[in-house]
Amino acid sequence: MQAVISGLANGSIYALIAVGLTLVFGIMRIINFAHGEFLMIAMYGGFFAWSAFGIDPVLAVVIVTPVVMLIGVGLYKGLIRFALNVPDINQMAVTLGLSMLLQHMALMMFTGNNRLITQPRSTASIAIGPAIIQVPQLIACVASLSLLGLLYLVLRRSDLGLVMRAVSQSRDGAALSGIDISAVYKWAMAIGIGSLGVAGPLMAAILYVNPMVGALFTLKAFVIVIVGGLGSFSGVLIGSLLVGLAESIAAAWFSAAISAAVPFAILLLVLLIRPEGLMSARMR
Amino acid sequence: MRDFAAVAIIIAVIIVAFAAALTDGYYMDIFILTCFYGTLAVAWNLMAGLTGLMSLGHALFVGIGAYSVAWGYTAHQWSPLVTWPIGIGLSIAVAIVIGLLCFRYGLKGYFFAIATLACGEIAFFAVSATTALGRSDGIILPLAKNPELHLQFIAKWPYGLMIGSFLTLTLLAGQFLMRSRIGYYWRSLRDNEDAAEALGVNAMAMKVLSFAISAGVASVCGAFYAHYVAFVDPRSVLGVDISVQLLVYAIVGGMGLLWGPLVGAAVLVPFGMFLRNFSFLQGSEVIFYAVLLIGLALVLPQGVSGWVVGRIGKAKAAAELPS
Amino acid sequence: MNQLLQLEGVSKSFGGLRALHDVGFSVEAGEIFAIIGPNGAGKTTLFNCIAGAQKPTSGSIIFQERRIDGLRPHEICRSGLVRTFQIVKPFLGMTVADNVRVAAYVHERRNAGADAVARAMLKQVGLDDYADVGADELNIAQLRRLEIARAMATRPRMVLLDEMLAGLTATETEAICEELREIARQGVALVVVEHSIPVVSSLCSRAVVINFGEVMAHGATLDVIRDPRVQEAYLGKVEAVAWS
Repeated sequence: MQAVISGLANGSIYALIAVGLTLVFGIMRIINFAHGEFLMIAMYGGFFAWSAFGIDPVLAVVIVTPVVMLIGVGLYKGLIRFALNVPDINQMAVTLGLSMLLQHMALMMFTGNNRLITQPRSTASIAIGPAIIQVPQLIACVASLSLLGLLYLVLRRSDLGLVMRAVSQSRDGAALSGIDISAVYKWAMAIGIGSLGVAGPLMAAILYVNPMVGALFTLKAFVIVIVGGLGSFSGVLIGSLLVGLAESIAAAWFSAAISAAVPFAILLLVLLIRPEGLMSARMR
Repeated sequence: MRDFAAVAIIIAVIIVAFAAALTDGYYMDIFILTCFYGTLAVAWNLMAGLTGLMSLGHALFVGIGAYSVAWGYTAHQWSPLVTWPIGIGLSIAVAIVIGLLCFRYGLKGYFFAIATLACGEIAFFAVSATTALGRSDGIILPLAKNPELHLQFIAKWPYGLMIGSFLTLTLLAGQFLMRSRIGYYWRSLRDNEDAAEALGVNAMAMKVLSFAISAGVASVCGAFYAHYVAFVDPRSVLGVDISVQLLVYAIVGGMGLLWGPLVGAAVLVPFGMFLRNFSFLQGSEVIFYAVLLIGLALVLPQGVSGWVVGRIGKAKAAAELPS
Repeated sequence: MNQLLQLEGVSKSFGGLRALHDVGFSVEAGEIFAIIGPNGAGKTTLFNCIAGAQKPTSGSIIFQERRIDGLRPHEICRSGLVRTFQIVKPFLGMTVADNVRVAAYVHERRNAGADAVARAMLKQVGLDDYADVGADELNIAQLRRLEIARAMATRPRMVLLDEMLAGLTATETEAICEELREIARQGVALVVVEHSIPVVSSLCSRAVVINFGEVMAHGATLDVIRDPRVQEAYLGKVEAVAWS
């Protein structure tokens, strides 16, 4: 039971990370191997806001998110824009290179030390039936679900969302109808990376921050995005919960190493049985 | 014939480099590592550059080769004559299974890359959890009573000779394949699978063949590594790092030609070892790689080798024009 | 019976959508046969079913007295039935000669032999001057010729040509038509999907008209074109007068 609760809690945080990745892939058809590194940056942002200015992580979200969104736009303008016209493998090389670059720059600037936001409420926990959940985790869960809801509304109800869905279905068709593709991409990157601005500070209160923390989440986010179906919102949520649950159950029954392999095993199964993902993608 | 000329030049360079490396153990180290990564990169490119299948899971096959040797030797004192075939056979079998599954469901591009990445990661974590394989601590290969029979040498040159010859062999065999029906079929699949199938190419068989050969060569490299370093652990032979490194060499060297990634390895491996001599540059080596990787991937999509060959071709065309 | 290709009751549906229903016709050795019909009538689906890119939901396709429905595209090619694509699909990373060489390996395992076949085919379609340039340097008319050369290099008994002439100028069209007639004279049957009625009537001896996935008319080209139902469905009444 404890495993189920913490699995679901982890899963909903994963969803927050994976949703940005799926948005960027769904619209731009580029897989960003540096996605986790931007999470790492946002986590450091949250950590330093707390350690230097004593800003509560929940408040830090409001500061970090716009900054990270701007970084997303800058990334598009400065790099990704040029990577859109080269072959897949070169795109992969560009984002992998970016990931290596950010990791090692962080290593030089922040050293490899583990850092964590510790507050009075860090160790507090709430009992849900026979299981307990820690307060920071609960906060992150709630934030994650509300952000997912918000993004869903934006995509479904707003003009920007309509345009984004159009571009994700047919880039050329959308361009012919007079949509400014470049602006849409810019927004996709801003939102896709920006969602990490919400996740980062909250996660810095749960997990140790170090320069390598991102890589782990990039891989998990890939798994979730593919398991759920590329570009599918409900798929992200289902994929995240599935991965989170499977991980914590495997950790409880077997060992940590086995649990680390579990997401990849799920990925393989899904790729082989249903390559289009569990939820067939609506946004495509 | 022109392609064989290029390979002949490269082989000559390998021989000269080996002779030069005989003078100093440190140089021999560089030579051996360059050949090790070079061979892996050529094997990888057989799939990626020439068949159009990007694998991010080649560490898996290096790991199978290395662990076959390490486990077979420490647990049963098996000689390389036994462990190598086990490693190669197992790698080929695993590649065939993964290939059949992935290609059957039409996984391509990013999806194939991530599926192979996932296979590699599963092996990484599975080995890290298996006591018989030393968990994450790895396996040390102790000195044998008759070391030579277990490919244990005090001098480094025998290792250089082994891996240098294997690289040469791989290049020759690869070039031979490229000029044969199989090589043409591979490239046709890379360029357009539908058209290739319509023209009589058995896509499934050809892709699996490419994967199996590539995996077999990679596992020989892994087996060699286990003998040379006398220590294997999941990080060094099963980590994603190896797979990513191969991508770096390929992007830098160019993937259009069989030996393109070898050029990338030949430039970057020695350079990386050189940078490691300066402690104040700690970590900057990777930053340098990363910037180079991003820049080349965007500016020089055909890589250094493709660019040079293209230049030579243009110069020739210009020279022939007046006549 | 002298039928090279015979379709009986071929149907294909995608989910609930019925793309082809109970299509049947036959093609004789050495003839030029047309499949015509309005856009979206199911011509390309029909092509894909014959060539093995898609599997018919039901029905049988018999080529040289052997069932080929459900075989993989490369097996169908090796049995002597080869296709070209509406949107040309050259191997852009290879030279023109190497493009054809891939196809030539179907019957010629030796490298030198395959290369010789490739060059002979290029000569036949008038691309021999371009043999050693990259396929990415050809224009659209040349790429279409390359498709023909590749198809012929597999030594087929029948070639399926999917809108081979779309987007070409009148001169280019005439030149390629002449080549197609020459190929037919060598005893290779051609099945063409084509929009232009003048081309069809000058090139093809017999035709089948597909509309909404069903056979609407089947027979000698001129009879088929004059069929009032065909004129109404496909040509529209005004143009019909002009062509009759």
